[in-house]
Amino acid sequence: MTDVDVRSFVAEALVELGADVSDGDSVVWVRAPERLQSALRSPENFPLAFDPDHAGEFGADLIAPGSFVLERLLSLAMERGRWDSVRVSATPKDWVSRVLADVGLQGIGDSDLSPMELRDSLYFLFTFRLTFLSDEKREAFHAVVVSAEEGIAWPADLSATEVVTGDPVAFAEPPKVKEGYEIARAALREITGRETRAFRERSLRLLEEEVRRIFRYCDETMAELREADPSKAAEIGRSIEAQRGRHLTEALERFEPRATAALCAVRAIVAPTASLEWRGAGGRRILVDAWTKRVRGLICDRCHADDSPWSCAGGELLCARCTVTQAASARPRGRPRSGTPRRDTRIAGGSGRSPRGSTERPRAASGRRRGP
Amino acid sequence: MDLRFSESDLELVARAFCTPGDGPRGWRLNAIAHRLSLVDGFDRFLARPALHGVLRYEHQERTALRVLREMHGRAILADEVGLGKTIEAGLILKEYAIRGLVRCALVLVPSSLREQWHEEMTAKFSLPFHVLRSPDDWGRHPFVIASIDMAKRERHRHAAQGRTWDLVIVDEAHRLKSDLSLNWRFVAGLSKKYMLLLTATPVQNNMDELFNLVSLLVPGQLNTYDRFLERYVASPDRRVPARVPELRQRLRDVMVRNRRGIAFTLPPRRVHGLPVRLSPAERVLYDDVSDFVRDAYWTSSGRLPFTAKLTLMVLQREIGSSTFAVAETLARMARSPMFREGERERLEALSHDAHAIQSNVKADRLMTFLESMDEKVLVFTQYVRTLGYLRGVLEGRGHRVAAYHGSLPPAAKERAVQAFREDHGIFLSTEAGGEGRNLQFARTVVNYDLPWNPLRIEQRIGRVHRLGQDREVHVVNIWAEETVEAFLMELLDRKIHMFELVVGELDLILGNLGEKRSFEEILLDIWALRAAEERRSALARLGASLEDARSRYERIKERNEEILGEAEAAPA
Repeated sequence: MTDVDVRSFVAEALVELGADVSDGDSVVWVRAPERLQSALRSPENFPLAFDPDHAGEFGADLIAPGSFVLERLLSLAMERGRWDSVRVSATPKDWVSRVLADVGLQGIGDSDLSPMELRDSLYFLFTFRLTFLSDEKREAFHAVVVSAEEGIAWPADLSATEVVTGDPVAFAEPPKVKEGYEIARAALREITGRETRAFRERSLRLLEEEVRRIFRYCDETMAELREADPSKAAEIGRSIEAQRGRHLTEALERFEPRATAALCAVRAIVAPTASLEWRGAGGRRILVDAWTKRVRGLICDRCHADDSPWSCAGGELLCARCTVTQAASARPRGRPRSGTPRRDTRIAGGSGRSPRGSTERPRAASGRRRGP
Repeated sequence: MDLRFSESDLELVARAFCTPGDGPRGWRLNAIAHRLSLVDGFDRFLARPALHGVLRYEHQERTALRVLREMHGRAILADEVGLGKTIEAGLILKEYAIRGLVRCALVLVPSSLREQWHEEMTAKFSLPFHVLRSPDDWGRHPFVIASIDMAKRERHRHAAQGRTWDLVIVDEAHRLKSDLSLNWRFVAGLSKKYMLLLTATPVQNNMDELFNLVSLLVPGQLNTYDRFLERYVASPDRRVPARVPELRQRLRDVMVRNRRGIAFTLPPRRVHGLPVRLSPAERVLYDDVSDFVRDAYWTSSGRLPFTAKLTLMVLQREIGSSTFAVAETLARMARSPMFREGERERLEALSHDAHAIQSNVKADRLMTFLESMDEKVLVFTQYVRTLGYLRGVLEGRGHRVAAYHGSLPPAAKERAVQAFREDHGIFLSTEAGGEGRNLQFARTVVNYDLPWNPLRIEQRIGRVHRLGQDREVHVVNIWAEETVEAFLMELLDRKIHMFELVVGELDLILGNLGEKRSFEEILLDIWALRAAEERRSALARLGASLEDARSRYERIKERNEEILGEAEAAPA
């Protein structure tokens, strides 16, 4: 379980499910509607305790990892809210220049930029639960943004994106989620690739050690038995083989690595998106939206990375890394462009902020050149 | 290993936006719920906030994390007695359960410990364990506690071995010492992902036992049997270890052994005996009740039915507690069809005599003792009627008494503990008293009567003499001369020095007795002998067996220390 505040989640979830919640000194009192009573197997009025020292006071159930009420509430919350739509409005008026300033391009003057188009674009925010399972379990929560029009995806900073509010969108017909989902899926594979491989290697190493030990033990025991009493070796050998089979099954059960991802929810977001022509730095067409505030279409002149923040000097556009390298060395080293052919999906690099749900930046993102 | 996506994703993708959603709050709560329920490896304890009445000890958490992280859920927990192996096993189980890695578990214990395990697992860890009663239970319950002797029987064995257990815990695992025993074969035949073996003394006789235990858990860890003998055993009788440092090094991968001196130390216990001479009326009543018990015990109808034996045992125990405890039972028995006409008349008369006694000498002795004390005292009795009598006497003398017994509602129990903690000087309690509660702020325990089951006496003392106690503990025993309780004191105090033992050691000593009867039954069988001389010799024989059992335990303890001494978790 994470450090997200359990108490405020419980209170908010209960209210969302139609309950009245009031804070007592040591317990929280809940008045539940009938449907919630049956879901929580509770009476109409009941107390909840968040501190083990107060568990049992007035018959209060303790809310803690693994406790019945918390598990039920989590499961009810996860069954709900699986899709939602919101229209983001663009404020303030100069949002485009503010976003550009945020990514380090504050030096670009109005004369360098010519607005080409400002329109509403559709984005999807897919949230995934990633589970690695072998002798232990590790889970992570990932959020991936897909631009439906551009056909690209990038990891989202959930803490920034989940608080977006606005009016729901009245779609004339349901948006095409499936295409977006396929892009998000491929993006998630790439985003979590290194982590998945590391987990697999660790688990397989443990499994291999265990299997080797079992085989060595059983084979050598059989050899010893044969030497000690050849007449009984066949009979005992069968029993050792059966034992070996069981131990191997148990080892496989324990260490076989499995990595799964499940889609938790999807949000369709319609946000103003500006298309601009930047005359500086050789002339580029860039896209920026008012929701994720990610600037697309910029590529480092040295290493071809597409990560913010940027710096622009003397007509050269540099990513943060190359800016540092340039400052530190008289002979900045360029990195050759990646020759790896792209598969069916284009994935943009992570934003400069560390995404809360995604622990990694995509490995391949820095070597990619992409036009608007 | 490719990242596999859930098949239900496509269903969600197809349904999404066909109907209105649950709004932005529903969407946000969905994300929070997922993040809240994430499991993030064994970096920290998730179970801690969910535990009830479990004091936090570093060595227990360190052990649990080591088993989870480094031993991958297969370990021998070989702490010295009294350091909380059960709690460590519970912590590991709860962590696995919360993380969804254990959805079914089997705990195998000696039959005498089934209820104790059940109580600990349900009350402290909120795990829905079921004590095995019938073969059908195997399929009905995901969390099962079973006596190993019952589970290995033909009609249970197939059901137990026919399913896969996520975790198997074996308490008192030294009973798996021989790979030829049914116990060992039964456990070896279980399909299990994780396994914990709990024993303070993995080595009872020879080194084979250690090999058998470890091989059950991680085959090959100590090499093959022949190589193990060659490398780690120095004598033909297989009792003397060789290359001990290397052996300990190998054991560290599968065994955690916390020792008292390293994990913590308990203050000493001081024992005080307060024997009393019964008043003439009490003496007559005691002897008459004992005569009735003997007459009924040696009934001419042959073997005494279990219920009748139990009734006689209760009667004899109650008269050992107080005349107030026994009076009502005598009256009830006088109305019971279980007894013949003549017996009922005798019981009626005894009941009348008991009701006529207005005070007990033991209570006077207790008062004298309490008046010499100026600190908080726990007074234990087995019976609510004795408790009622004592409460009246104590409050009549101006003592502030917090009374606690099993039939109080939870809130009243809470108030009693609170009152004792705050300003009441005496916590007067039945056996249910303060089970699992922290009463270490007091350090004096008075046994107003003595349960015939020594483990019960130990549990009473354990209420204050446990982790967290930092002062010397005083145990005061009150008993009447020439009673069963005087017998008991002779055996437990003088023969095995029970009151100096650490919690948990007594169980191991009694386990060495090799008796199928419970200790209470043994006592009743001796007490029921008609001739005093016979009783004395039977008592002497039992005393000698207990002394042997204790010496044997001491030897085993030393052996384990010699072999395993350093196989502990990292020093505290």
